[in-house]
Amino acid sequence: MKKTFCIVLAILWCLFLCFSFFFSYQPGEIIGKHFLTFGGSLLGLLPPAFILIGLFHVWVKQETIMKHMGHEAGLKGHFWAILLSSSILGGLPVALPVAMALYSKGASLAVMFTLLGASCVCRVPMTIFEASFLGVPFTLIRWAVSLPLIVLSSYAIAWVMGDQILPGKDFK
Amino acid sequence: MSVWNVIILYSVSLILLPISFIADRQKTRAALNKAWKEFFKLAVPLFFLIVLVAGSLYFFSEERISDLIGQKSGFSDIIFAALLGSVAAVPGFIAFPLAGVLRGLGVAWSVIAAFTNSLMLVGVLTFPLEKKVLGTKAALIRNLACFAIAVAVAAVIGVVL
Repeated sequence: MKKTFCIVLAILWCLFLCFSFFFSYQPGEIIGKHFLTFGGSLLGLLPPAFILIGLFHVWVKQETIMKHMGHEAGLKGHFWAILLSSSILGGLPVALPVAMALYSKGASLAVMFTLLGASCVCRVPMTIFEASFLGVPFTLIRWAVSLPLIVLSSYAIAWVMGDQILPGKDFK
Repeated sequence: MSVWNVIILYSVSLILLPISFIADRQKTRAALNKAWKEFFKLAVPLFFLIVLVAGSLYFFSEERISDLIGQKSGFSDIIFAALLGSVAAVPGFIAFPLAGVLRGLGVAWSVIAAFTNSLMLVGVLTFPLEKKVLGTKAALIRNLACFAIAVAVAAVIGVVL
């Protein structure tokens, strides 16, 4: 039921784009162009990202992740999460599977939420751009204020979630 | 997104993959299988994410955004800019130059920060994707917390700069 609904929506969307281009309906054309460029750049990024996630799944031991990012790791786990997040390209669509892979391997919920939050805040390429247009002080203040808040909020979210298991977790 | 970063990402995976294959064929096959399955699980929400972003890029274009948050500086304007940033999908390489231009026009630092911070932190458009992976509750709390952080950072930047 939900599946057919999705397929119908997707077909309607494609029809909308086709008709827009055919009858040169301008908003539709612009949206279509954005759809292709954004979709293209995202799809270009996903194959290597998912291959790395796959390799991570088979080669990295569960104990390693549990030790460094699990419940016992404490703040050190958050440090690793922030470091890792700064290298993630493509924002949340890539950060989410990465976070889920770590979570499935035994990273604590709080560390996982820190990774997701930090991936929005301190991606290196984006930050360089920001600093060059808005100034280094702007970026420094943003980091200094947002990173501690992200770690704190991660603990809070993990506390609210309690023992609930996220749907993306995969059991092997 | 700079081309170099993408090249680096491809190089890393294309170097690691043969190494893994030489080390253990079976495991590498399992890894690729896993990669494909993970991707397939997210294919539908990813498709709708691209649709939503395309729509948002049209409705909240560069010009529309500079019209909407130009010449403002009050607290309600910070919230407004943060809401706008939450639903917009402007990529960084357009958003930051735009923010620089707005600053030149005299828009307050706090409003600019509220916009760029929430643009990066809060994902109304990525919500379907997050919901699929994190569940509705966690995705909702996470985005609300991120919204609060974006506003808090904007307030501090407004006071300090």
